[in-house]
Amino acid sequence: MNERAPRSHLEHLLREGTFVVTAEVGPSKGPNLGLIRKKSGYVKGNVDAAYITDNQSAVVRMSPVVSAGVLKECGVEPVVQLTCRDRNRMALQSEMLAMAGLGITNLLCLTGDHQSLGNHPMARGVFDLDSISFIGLARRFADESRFFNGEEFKGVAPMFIGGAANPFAPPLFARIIRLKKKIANGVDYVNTQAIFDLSIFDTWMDAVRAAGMHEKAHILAGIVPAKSARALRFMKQSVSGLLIPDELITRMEQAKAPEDEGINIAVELIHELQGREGIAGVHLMPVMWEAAIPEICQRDGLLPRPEMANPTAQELATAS
Amino acid sequence: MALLKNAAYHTLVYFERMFKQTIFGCKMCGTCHLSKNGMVCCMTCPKGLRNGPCGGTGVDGMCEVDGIGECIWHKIYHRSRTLHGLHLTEKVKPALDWSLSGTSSYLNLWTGRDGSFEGRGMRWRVKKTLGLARNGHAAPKEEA
Repeated sequence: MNERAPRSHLEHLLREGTFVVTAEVGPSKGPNLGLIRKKSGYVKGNVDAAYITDNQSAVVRMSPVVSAGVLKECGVEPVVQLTCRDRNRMALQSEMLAMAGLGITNLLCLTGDHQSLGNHPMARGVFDLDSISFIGLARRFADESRFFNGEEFKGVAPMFIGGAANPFAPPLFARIIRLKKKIANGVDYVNTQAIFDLSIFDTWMDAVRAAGMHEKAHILAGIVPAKSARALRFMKQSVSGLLIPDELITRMEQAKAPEDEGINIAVELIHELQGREGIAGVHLMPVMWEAAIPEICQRDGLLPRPEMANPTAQELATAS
Repeated sequence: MALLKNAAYHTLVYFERMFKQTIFGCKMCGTCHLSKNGMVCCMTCPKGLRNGPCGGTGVDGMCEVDGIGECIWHKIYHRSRTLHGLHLTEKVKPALDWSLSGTSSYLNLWTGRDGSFEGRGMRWRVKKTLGLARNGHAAPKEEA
């Protein structure tokens, strides 16, 4: 977090201290750009930025950069997620150049789920870089206009670079070491894994605050609104790194309108998180249920969202 | 002479592979971090992560990939703790130089090809200890 002009609308809001709301938008599982346009309707005006997932859960989908370009055309601030599972360092850079060309300046660097969990378990996982070295190299790529090998390129590719953190996987000290490494490599914001249980999240957050890391990077808390008790049980079983308490599943089972209850749970969590020191915003991850986004924002009193006013650094650079 | 050198090199690689593959499940990445990782090979992680565990570790500490069992990085941290080397895991490790894959990590450490001792290698360190190192013996390699 340095004193230069904000590189994106998201960075501008985070610096101002606004409690930001972001959401995840999954690209289509077919040659259908209309899906992103349709989904942009759910997020436009309701969230500050929308994250485009990169072959989420190792299932093949449309390219995140192309989808983000379409989303930007629709007037939504996009964040591109890039994983090290599918791309080596050359492909990652080519995607980053494409992003800069399209004027997309938000990047989320991820390692990626293992390919054995997705629909192509026979694929070769790349994992040329890990997310930490990717963040470090992307930082230099954006700040010094240098490729990962150190060679300079012409022009600028400003990036607001993020990483992910999982507060729930033990041991805690390992998670803190890893977050410290990401911050040392220059991460600007950190998205957490989906939160269902606040007690363990609080222990993690205490450790983060003790190390002063919430001042070095903006922390966005992940929220997954669940559609049904079945969805929760499925996530508990098959998505690793999630901690879902049994009481929550019982609560969903007993609810008369489970979808409504799922939204209520998300709204309650957001309310709780808003009071916590060091939480810069929330990140909604409604898995294939983007329609829930407007409802959650509405019930939480998070609307209206601040307008996209400031020109981003990229636009300034291309204008001059 | 070149033939002899080549033969000697490949013999070294053969024995290194045999020894480390049997004991540590070595993948011959060419930049060995065994000593920094509590003698657990980080390349045995299904993602080959060199800087710590990914988000795919379950709350029970198990790897998301079937058949791996306990997260490799958990093993690394626990072993490092036992061996009092936890501070070694806290340093940010640079991205792996894949061009060294399949070469002898011992020789890379000696010559500094793997970036050890700022690219000057163990031989510089040994010479320095013996008082033989000249100033500017080798230019420090740029950090990746």
